Amino acid sequence: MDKVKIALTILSIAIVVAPIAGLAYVYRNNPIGIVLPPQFQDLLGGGGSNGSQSSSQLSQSISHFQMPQAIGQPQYDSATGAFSYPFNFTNPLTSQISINHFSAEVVGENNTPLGDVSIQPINIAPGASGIINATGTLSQSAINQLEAEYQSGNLNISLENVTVNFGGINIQIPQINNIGSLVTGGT
Amino acid sequence: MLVISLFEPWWQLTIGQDFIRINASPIYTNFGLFGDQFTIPLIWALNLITILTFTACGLVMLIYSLVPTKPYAKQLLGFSWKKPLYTVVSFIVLLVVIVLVAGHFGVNIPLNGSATATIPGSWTSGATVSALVSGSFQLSFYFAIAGAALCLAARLYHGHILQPLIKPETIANPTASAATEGLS
Repeated sequence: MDKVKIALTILSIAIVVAPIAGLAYVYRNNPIGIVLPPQFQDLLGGGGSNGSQSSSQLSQSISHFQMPQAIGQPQYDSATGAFSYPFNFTNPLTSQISINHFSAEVVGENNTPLGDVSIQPINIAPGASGIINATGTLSQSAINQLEAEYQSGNLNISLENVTVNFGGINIQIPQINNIGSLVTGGT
Repeated sequence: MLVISLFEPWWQLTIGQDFIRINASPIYTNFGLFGDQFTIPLIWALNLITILTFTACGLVMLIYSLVPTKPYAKQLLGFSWKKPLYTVVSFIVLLVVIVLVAGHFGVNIPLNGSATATIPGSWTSGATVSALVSGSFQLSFYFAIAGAALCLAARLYHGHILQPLIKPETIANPTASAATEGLS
């Protein structure tokens, strides 16, 4: 019976020690890899778990992420104050992106209210590009101001009370500053 | 139980519309972010320990079932019946602790059901982020409970029914018995 007990004890110890020892051996050159998945090491630029280069889907998705690019010129109806400005966005993820709601107030220099903006619900398949059409209303004076700034290439606009709903997640941001470069397509 | 747990987690947490998914079990734990699946190597090693432990327990329990009246049967049973029960209890306790800690920081994580969790603004630079969070125990978890219960039942069966059937002379020291017989 002692032999059985000893054998079972040795078995228990081996079951615990072997995987831990194996893990320590595999990650002996990269101890941080024990707690940090390879995908996040790629994001941090650390390469693969054994020092070799590897690229996970997540790191590829993040590296391929680009801000929405403005398409053409914004359209404005002076009679109604309505505008529309299309943007092209490519989904870098391996899952569909669904934007259910986006709205914000547009403010100019010194937080001067200019109007509002929103987009229609949109679904973009993995790897596909979609047209995000930003629409809203702007006053004529706001248009004049923005047009002058746009021509000079120094568009000074920010968004306030931004509300976004996508993928079941709701985000409310008090203010996003200086999105002029996004609108002009500049850097 | 082990086979089912390899393919289905014991507990699953979904944030948003599959924006983030956490599949948790002592057998296999992985995380999903933006559709990409990943595991933490340390947790993977712990999962492997659990898999090996359950496999050993199953084999030992099988051997015990073939020789329940042998003197070493109790040791075989003692090795195998506790571990599934301890694993299930430990898993539940760990989940409860995580939920309580998250609740302490203002993040509501439901163990079973859905709720809206809001991340404190201090964590998100003033932005308010809220999401539908759904937690659920899967079928494999209930199989695990059933397996642990059966192991406990085996222990009770051995103690109350089988133990009296084991002959006393087989439990006593066989060398002492032989010496007594020689003197007489």
